Amino acid sequence: MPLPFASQTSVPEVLSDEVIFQRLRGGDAAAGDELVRRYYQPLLRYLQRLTGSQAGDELLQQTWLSVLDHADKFDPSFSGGGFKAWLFRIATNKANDFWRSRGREKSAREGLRLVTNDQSPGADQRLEGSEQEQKLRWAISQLPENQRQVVMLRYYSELKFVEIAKILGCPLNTALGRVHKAMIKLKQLMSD
Amino acid sequence: MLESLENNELILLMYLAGELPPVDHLEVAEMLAADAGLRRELEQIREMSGALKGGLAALDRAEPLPSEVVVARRIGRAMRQHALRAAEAARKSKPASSKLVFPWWAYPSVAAAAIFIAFLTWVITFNFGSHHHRMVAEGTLGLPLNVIEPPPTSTPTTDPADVNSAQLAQEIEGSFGPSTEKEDNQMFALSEDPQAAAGGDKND
Repeated sequence: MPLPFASQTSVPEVLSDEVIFQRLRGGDAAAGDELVRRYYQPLLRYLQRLTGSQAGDELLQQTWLSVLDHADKFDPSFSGGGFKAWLFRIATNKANDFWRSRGREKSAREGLRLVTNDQSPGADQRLEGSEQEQKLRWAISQLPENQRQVVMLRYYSELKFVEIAKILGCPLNTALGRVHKAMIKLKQLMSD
Repeated sequence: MLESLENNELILLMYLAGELPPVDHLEVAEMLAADAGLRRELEQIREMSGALKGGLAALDRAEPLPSEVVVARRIGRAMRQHALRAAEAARKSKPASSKLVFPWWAYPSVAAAAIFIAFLTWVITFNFGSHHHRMVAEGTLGLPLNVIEPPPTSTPTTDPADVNSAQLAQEIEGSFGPSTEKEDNQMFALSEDPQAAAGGDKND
């Protein structure tokens, strides 16, 4: 068994996620860094939109540690989306755990507070953002959790609806219905 | 796939995303060409979807993330420590598993065999055993009943050898004929003193 993170070879960007992940499983630290870098933005944005910026940051790290823990269980054919679908599924589970541990009502209030009054880097810029942006943040926070989850998963992971339905463990009709309802609700909230 | 989708909105969402199979995509395109209401519905969905994407993109631009390098380094460090801890835990737990002399499947197999043997013993003892006793009682068992000698009874049995000896003795005795008392005395004296026996006969 190779030592964990024994080698420090650079990873060419043209390699697929699955190939790089195999290297990570073999103990290649550079492969892990490459995967983290590739999914840094979409994964962190997704988690932040679901749970707030501070929790999102923590959940990002938890997601990657969970990837290491369950590396042996990764099935490249999972839901047709490969490593990306598997990664977002783990992240979604982490977000669900977060919601459960904090209590849905409390988290909803907290999430809204974090979205509107965040003190993390860039908060000043957000406060200076247009009224339309602030309204959108508020409108997103008003969405039911399951609708927000499917909308954010679609937008940030860019996975197909069929793959998203598999990640969420629901029928395709349900996933599509949630997206449609979320868009209608956002439109109503934005026009009020 | 079209049949499995519940309503027009869901079909149009899939159509707009380009995720329908080619045959279904063509069919929806033909329906749109023929139905102005459906086209309006498609435009509404396209507009809502575009507004959502545009809005989220604007929010992302307005909310810059911490440096990618810094976060990647932090997570990478956490992953390395995590992997080392996991490797250490695996190394510590290995001696415990090496205590197993036989492969893991041997233990349940032996347990199953022991249970089977115990069951077999029970079946033979109780089922076949009781049947055997019943057959003996009914006398239907094919085994000879005098295999085990019964204990001696109060009535003595006559040994055939003894019977034959008595008959032989009587026959021998009969062959000599009936003897008188005198002959018996002579025989007795002869056996003690053969000369006296002969003279005594002359003296008398």
